[in-house]
Amino acid sequence: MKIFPPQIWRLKEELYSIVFGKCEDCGEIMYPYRPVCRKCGSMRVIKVKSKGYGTLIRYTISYQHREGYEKLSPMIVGSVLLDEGIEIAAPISADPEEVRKGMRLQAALRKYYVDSSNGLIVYGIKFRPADQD
Amino acid sequence: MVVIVGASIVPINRYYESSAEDLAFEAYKGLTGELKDRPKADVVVISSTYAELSTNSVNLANKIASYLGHQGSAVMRVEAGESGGPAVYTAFSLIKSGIADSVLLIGVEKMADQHGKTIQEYTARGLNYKDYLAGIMPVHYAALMMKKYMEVYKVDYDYFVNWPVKMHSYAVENPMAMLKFKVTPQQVKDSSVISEPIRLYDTGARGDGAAVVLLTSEEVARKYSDDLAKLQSVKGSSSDLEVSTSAMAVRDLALKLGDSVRDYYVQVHDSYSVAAAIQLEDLGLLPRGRSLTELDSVEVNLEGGLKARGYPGGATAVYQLAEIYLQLTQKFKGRTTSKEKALMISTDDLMTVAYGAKVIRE
Ligand SMILES: [Zn+2]
Repeated sequence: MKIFPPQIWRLKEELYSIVFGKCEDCGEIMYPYRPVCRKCGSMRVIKVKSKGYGTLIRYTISYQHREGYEKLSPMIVGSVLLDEGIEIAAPISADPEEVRKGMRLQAALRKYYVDSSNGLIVYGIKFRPADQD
Repeated sequence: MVVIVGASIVPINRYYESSAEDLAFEAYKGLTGELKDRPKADVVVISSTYAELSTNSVNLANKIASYLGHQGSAVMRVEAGESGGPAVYTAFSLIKSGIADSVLLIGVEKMADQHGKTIQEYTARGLNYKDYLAGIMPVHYAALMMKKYMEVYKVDYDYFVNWPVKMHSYAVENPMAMLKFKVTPQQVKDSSVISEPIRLYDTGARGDGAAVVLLTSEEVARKYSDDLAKLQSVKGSSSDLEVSTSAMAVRDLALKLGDSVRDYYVQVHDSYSVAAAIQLEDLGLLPRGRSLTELDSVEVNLEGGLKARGYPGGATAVYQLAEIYLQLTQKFKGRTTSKEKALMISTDDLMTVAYGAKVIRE
């Protein structure tokens, strides 16, 4: 896949943090963020940044990968219940041996992809096992 | 009234010698052989989801229309979410509204020129761009849906095995099917893991294909054929992607379609076994959490489904419509339905876009 730098630049907020939309009129929560409420049509949708902590409620370990993602195999993708109460699907950066349902997770910046045609590296959020407090 | 006057399909397979145009021509030849008169089309509607990626070209609609000699027709390509449903909706609307008297609906997809990894790359582009960059694939979402289904309804993997076993048993009888062989529950359970719990036999079998359907107004229908079926209604809906045991777009579609689907022969879009279960349940055809153990009580996907008949991307819905026409006019060579009404459900891989079409024997 060929990466177009402006596409990554525009996406920086969503790639480097978890941003959801909250409708100020009806309270609807939407992930990913969008400017118009899917429930009431209001455009008073504000961006809310998650604190980046959550719990793994289920996951899949994948043994197939796309071209350019060889190093991620086997890849883990999970349903994460954020502490803000929203469930999202996200890549999990953990050893397949250590991953388990109910584990605490925290968001971390990780390498997503390297475009071999121009050397561009795409970073984004993955969830890793949370530090013990 | 919108009438289906003829339909033809090519077997889904790997066609290294054929382009998208060649495949469309093969299906078209089959259609013209069945008709009393050479088809004229006010509009040629093409359904193909991956055309730019898989054929490295744009403007496919005019290329195909021109290849088939339809100079002078209005031409367009319609797609949303790799199902082909929107093209059926468009063709129906053009005739129902009186804008056109005849529409040549063509579904075509070339999936086999590329390596399987490249196809995964194409299908991943249907996800939001952030997921796509992260390396996520639709099958990951499907695996999470399947796990949630297992949790909610307390079923194990054996429950899902029923689907591919049933689909393959039908495909054996369908000469146009891609995977014409039976599979045992053990073979399904031993197939390779793609993204656990999803195994190879839980996924649709992608291949090349082309299907054509000629739709006309009531006024011109008998000029072409005496074997007619009525396309009664086409509805559609859409939703966000959710990891759920139910699909909002399908539930909403079921409401729009109205009356009980029990009287209909039903085709669902079984991109994954869990997708088949969700659609059968959201339609109200089978009970929640038990649909795949009650498959013997309904007539569903008698052609073998995406699982075994094959999954030709954006051409799929046109295959469905063609097969249903052939079923209702008693021309289908394979396991046939006893019903006089049929309903096809067309969705994308993860059921965020859903279309339904009701067809009645004339
Ligand atoms: Zn709102």
